[in-house]
Amino acid sequence: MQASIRIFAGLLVSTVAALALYQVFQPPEAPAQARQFTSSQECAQCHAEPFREWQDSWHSRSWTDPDVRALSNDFANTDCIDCHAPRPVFETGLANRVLPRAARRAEGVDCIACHQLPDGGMAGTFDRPDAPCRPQARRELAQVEFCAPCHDQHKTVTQWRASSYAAQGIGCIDCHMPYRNGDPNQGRDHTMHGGHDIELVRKAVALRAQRSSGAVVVEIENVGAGHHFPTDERSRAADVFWRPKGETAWRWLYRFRSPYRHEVELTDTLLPAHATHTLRIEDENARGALEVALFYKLTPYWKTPAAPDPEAEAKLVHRVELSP
Amino acid sequence: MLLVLFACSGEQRNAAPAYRLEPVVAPARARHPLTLPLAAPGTGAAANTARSELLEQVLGALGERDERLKTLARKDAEQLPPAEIAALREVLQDAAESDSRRGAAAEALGASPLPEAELALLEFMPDLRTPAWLRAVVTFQWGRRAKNLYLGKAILRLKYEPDDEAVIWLADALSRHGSRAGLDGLEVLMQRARTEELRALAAERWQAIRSATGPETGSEMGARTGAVDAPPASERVAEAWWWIGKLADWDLRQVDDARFVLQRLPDWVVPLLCECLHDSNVYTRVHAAQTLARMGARARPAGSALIEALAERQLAPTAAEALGMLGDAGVRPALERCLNAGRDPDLAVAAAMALGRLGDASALPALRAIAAPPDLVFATQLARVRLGDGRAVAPALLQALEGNGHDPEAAATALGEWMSQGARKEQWQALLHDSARGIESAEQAAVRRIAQARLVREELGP
Ligand code: HEC
Ligand code: HEC
Ligand code: HEC
Ligand code: HEC
Ligand code: HEC
Repeated sequence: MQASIRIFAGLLVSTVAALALYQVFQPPEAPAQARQFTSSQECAQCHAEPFREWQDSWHSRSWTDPDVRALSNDFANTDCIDCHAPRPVFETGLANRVLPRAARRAEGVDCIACHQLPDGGMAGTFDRPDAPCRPQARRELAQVEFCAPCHDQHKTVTQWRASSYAAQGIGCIDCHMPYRNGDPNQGRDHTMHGGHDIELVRKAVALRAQRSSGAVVVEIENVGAGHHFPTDERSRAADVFWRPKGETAWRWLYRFRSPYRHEVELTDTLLPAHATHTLRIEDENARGALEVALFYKLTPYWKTPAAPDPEAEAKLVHRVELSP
Repeated sequence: MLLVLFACSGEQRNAAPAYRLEPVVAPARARHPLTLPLAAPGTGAAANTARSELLEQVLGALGERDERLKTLARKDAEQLPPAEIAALREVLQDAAESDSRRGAAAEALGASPLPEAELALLEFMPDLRTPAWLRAVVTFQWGRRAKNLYLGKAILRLKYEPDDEAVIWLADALSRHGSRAGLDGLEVLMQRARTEELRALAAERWQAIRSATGPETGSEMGARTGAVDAPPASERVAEAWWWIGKLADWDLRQVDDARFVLQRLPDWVVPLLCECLHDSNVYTRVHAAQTLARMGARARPAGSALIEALAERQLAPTAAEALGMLGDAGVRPALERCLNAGRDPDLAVAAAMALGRLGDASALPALRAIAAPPDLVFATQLARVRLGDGRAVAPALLQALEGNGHDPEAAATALGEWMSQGARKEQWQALLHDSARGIESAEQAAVRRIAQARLVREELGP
């Protein structure tokens, strides 16, 4: 056994196996009633499906995400650690902010951060004191307040509260954690799609264009997001472009975005839930056949701001054509 | 001492006296009331306060080129009562006023000894919608004032001021009032200000501050603020408590700002932050400890308070981290005891990292003895690199670099420290991502890590 400890320490074989060994060597005074989880990898063994989905989610990448690392100077800016490698939400309580974690930072926003209760059990939908992870029914897990510790600094939850979804009781998880295969008995999908999933972004907005008294009237309506569009107030942007049919270069028309604090010359143009924004194109080149398109960008800046190339640097959300 | 011994034994030892938690900030703020309210920038109604003839004369004269007239006008400005200060504030903030009148208002406010005048300048400085030259003028005028009370408000400008010239005058102004917080900024501007003229100005001011306040070098100097500033005026202490009050704000921007300011206030703020380690609000406690951590060696007097704080579960990891930043080898035993924190892996990991940062190689035996859990072992390996054990842990870090679930970038950074002492340091350097090329994509990072791993293998040899 001694020899194997040394091998483990030196080589770091699979985390799960090493942890199993750790269990054996846990100090005897540790209380027997609760199994203590020291890594979300340990959940995989019994909860393969949520684990796989979570690994595919941006929550699991919140520490390794290159954009975050670049913006936080590799987390040398320690202000950024809190939500990107958090201690459990239930430790500080719902609607309070999370505290930063020192251990397992590479796991990001993980199972333990979302599920672990202060007594070591796991928040879930039922009580099962005999199960290894001791699930306990906690209704709060399904409420918007549960997402707020991290998502309301960017005001997403506040925006939701002001929308009709709040009145209807359609919460964050109803849109972002649908039941697997639509079946409530199969539990909820942990992939938590957001801006990285262009299909979801397409569902958020509708784009319409028509001619009216000599001008082209363009309407963009937030039909599917339970909050402002685009959601992330800090760095996402959605731009409306148009071009006469046959031309290759897009002409910029309008941008939906919440600016950074130093961008004092810009105003907040996010589109609230259910709201419609109307634009007019009054240009003689718009008399013939033309295209109008909405593009989505994960980061705000264009390589050449004077002549942005949305097809290369952004993703197409919707496109409509208009005849002369 | 008993406290220290039990600090890391976790929940099991009931014998440990409970860590004292009580309201600290609220009573302290009641004890140290501000005589003037500290408003947010840009607030306060433009009530079109009546402007006296004297005030108009002062503004007129200060707008002239005649130095003699100006000197007289400054003398007059010293006599202006608070009501007229409010009027000057309006002129300064009113975009419809001419540039020369706004500049003159700034100068008059600089001449007035009233704290209201100081606040009017400070409130205006952050208004980024106004032209940069006017912000530079306002900053310069603030610095010229004989007596300034609200250091924190000025320090915060270092965080947000985008204009090079305004930053130079800010650093200069701060140094006149006992804070060296701007020196770091000057060092950057000496190299990178937008014009040759400004680079020269930054260098000149840097020299001047250095010769006035002592020959410390580089960032060490920037990290230290106002050794000259003791004891603080009561209004300054009240302002410090006002910032401390923001440590528990929900809005993280307020918290970030407060940490930024507090860590740059003169040394007298350290005992205030130590008191906060006992506040009943967990955010106040943790953010106060983070502030002490960022003060580094300046926070050494907080050593025993931080060791005591290792007994408080939620505060302990941050306290350990802060202890590592003090650079005081005396805290090593307390940190070593936390390596066996049992039920709180977060504390153990924080303590391991702190021991690495502390830089005292006598911690090596304790670090080498840790065999589980894996995440703690990984943290001890990162720490051991810093203490000279690089070759021994490089094989394990190599695996993390190649992706075994531990933080690959932390492994890369640690391996970089080891490689930079070896024969392949130039090759390693060439592999690092150059931020000038923009954000590294996930694919680029993966390719870089493979190349780094290959180099580490070569360094390790067969
Ligand atoms: C209060 C919690 C919190 C803190 C603190 C925080 N973030 Fe975030 N961050 C989030 C959340 C939530 C998201 C995703 C949703 C959103 O952006 O609205 C996010 C997303 C991001 C993204 C976009 C990632 C992507 O995939 O495109 C970047 C970049 C980022 N954060 C950087 C930072 C930096 C840099 C800091 C420190 C200055 C920081 N964050 C601090 C909560 C936080
Ligand atoms: C050794 C197996 C095992 C491990 C490891 C384990 N669990 Fe469980 N978990 C269970 C069992 C069994 C149940 C009850 C399942 C049932 O009856 O459907 C359960 C239930 C749950 C529930 C409640 C499910 C619901 O529908 O409400 C949650 C939440 C949960 N686990 C989270 C976790 C997390 C997070 C981890 C890792 C930190 C974890 N579990 C580790 C076996 C395990
Ligand atoms: C961002 C927070 C978050 C993360 C991260 C997270 N969960 Fe969940 N989890 C939830 C929410 C919310 C629910 C839904 C609760 C409800 O329906 O009441 C849930 C439900 C569950 C359930 C109940 C059954 C099901 O599948 O819906 C299990 C089991 C579970 N999670 C396990 C895990 C495991 C294992 C991990 C890590 C791999 C994980 N969770 C990561 C928030 C999270
Ligand atoms: C402990 C903090 C935390 C909690 C709680 C949390 N999140 Fe997140 N979430 C984050 C962070 C951080 C990111 C950004 C990850 C990144 O890209 O770096 C994020 C990203 C997201 C994204 C964006 C994915 C994308 O494509 O970019 C969605 C959607 C999301 N979260 C939904 C939720 C929902 C719904 C809940 C509540 C059930 C929730 N989150 C709870 C921290 C949290
Ligand atoms: C009616 C459905 C719906 C509801 C309710 C809803 N969302 Fe969304 N959410 C969307 C859609 C659609 C998108 C994609 C478009 C966008 O980014 O705005 C999205 C995007 C996001 C993103 C991605 C941001 C990014 O930058 O990648 C986050 C984070 C998010 N939502 C969080 C939340 C939270 C937190 C709640 C609860 C307060 C919530 N959402 C409620 C539909 C919904």
